[in-house]
Amino acid sequence: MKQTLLIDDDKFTSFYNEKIVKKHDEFGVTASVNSASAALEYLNKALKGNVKKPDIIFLDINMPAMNGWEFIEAYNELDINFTSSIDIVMLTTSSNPEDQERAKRSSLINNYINKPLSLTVLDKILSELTLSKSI
Amino acid sequence: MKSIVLKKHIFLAIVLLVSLHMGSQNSSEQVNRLKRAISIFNFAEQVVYNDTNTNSHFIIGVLGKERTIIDLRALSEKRQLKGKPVRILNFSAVKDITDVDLVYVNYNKGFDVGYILNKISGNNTLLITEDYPYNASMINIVKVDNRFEYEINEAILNENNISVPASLRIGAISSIEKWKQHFQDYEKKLEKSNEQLDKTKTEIKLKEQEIRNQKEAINKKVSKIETQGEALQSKQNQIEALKLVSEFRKKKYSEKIIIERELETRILKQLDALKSSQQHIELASEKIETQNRILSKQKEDITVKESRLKSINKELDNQRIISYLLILLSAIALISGLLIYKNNRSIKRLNSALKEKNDNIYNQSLILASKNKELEEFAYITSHDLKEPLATISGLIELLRDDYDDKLDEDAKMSMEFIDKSSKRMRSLIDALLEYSRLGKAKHKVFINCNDLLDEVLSDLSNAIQRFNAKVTYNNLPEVAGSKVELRTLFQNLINNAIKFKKPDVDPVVAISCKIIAPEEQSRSYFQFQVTDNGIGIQEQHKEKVFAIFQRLNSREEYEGTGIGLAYCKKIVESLGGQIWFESEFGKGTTFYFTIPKQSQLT
Repeated sequence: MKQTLLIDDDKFTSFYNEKIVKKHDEFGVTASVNSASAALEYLNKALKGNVKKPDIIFLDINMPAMNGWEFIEAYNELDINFTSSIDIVMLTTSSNPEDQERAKRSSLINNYINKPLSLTVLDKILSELTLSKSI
Repeated sequence: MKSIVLKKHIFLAIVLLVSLHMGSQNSSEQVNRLKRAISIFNFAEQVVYNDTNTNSHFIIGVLGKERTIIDLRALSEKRQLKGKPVRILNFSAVKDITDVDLVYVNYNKGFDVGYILNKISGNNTLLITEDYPYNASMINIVKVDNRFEYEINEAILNENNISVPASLRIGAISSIEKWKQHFQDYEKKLEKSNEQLDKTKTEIKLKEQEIRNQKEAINKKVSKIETQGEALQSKQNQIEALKLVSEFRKKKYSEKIIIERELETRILKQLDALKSSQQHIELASEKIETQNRILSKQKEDITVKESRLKSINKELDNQRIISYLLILLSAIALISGLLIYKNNRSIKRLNSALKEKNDNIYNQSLILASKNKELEEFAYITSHDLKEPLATISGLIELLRDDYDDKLDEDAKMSMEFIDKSSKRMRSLIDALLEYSRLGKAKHKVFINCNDLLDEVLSDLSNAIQRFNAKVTYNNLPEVAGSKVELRTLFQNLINNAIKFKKPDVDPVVAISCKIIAPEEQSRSYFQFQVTDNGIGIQEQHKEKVFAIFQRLNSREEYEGTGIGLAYCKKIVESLGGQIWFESEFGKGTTFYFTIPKQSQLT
């Protein structure tokens, strides 16, 4: 069971994403936050062992205050021993090719997914994760 | 001085004349010399030396070079004096006189008698002089005719402690009158010779005058060397004549010889002087000559310099002409420079205007670029914001369908489907708009073989081709420079349209071809492609709308699509620097044309 941290500023999207993730047998939701700073807060708590550590993060790009990319930068500052076991999946509606390129270049980002999330998409993510892990 | 010397000479001459006259023969001369020596010996024997002399010899000293020395020495071998052998000494100067018993001196040797007396005083020495003035010495002898007369100065003798015996006193001339008397006898005899002497004297004087004159003349006429040489010659001749005369006289009057010798030496001296002055003159003339040479050299130099000056003047003239020409040229240059400057200024003004325009254009292009960038970003952001809720809608409808499908009635289901379709359509429109905004941005151009490209496009469209039983032909298409994605979109849209807008009962036939054109108003050549179909055609009134974005000419039910395809095509072609247009006959078909610049190399 993959424990998921969902990061999206849109409450409706978050609601939908939670529903889909919970619906999938292989995924569980540890937390759903509406900002990148809240996500960092959660991760710091998890680092101390206060909350459950996620296995996978679904990250939106376009968010107010701290956007997805800025979150990645801050995330990079965290203890590598802690973050190395966490996968990040970009979940976005952005069709900007620059964003796609940037996601591909970053070693921290495992996947780049266009919204909406669906069970099929989750299956695909899972299979690609196991594939990359096995390699 | 001259007169004194002359007098002395005259006196000497007289003495000589007397002696010569007296002893006209050589033998008598010898006798006289012997007589003199004997006289001296006799005086020495007769006088009494009052102090005793212990010398072994009786010493006689002779002052000056004197033949008498020989005579005395000859006599000293035969006679003794005061019982002692006699020795004869010779002194050349008074100061050399040593302690002797007797001193003999002749007036013609020029010794001062006072000085001699002073020297010998106290030495008990007898002084015998010859031809000295009366009473000047101790014993003074003088030769009268063929005998020697003498006078004694007893006072001086006594001072020197010498006494004179009476026998000697008797023979001596006792007074000056007597002394004079002796001379008077000769005077008469001498008158004749004196007259001759006077003659010679005047002659000498004349000659002296002449010489003086000549000297003056020489001094005056330094430059006239030749005339002086002649004068010299004449003088020499005269001297020669004089010599002859004197030689003649020598024979007759040997005394003249001495005078003439004297004269000769004088003349010779003067000749020497003349010679030296001649040398001076020669030297001067040499100097003059050298100076003349220098002068001539300088003259030559001057002529050389003159010629040089002439050439320099010529050069100067030439240079002046050149200078004038140069001035003219520089004036022309100045004028042309001014003109050029003016031109340049206007060009500069134009340039600055052009630069300003360029700057404006550049600024505008910068503004445009930033605007474009802004627009692009706007498109992305907008699309994201637009698509986000759409995605949520689609997702939620999917959830509803999965979870509540059995609880909804047919109307609700249909509504849900419409919501789903509408949201999906909206998504595709947004994507199309985004795609449109992104077109023409490709910076990386490559050479693309259009034959290969069309192979790919047809394989992509294989579904539609099969569905409509379409026939697409192309051959011999060129390589063009551009973005592969964009060119593919271009061909895809054109072919897709050609197949899609088919007449209901006719299979679509599409022909693609290309030719090179070179428009007259353009400097470059183009590939002109054409895509011809046998479709429904385009009505004349819709011509303007065809390339507009989201413009549809037909209902979505009849012909599906977003209506953006030809807008894509227009944007792509124009971004490559080409044009797109079409010719169509409604109901028969349409031909789309587009041009792409022919490029030999990538930019």
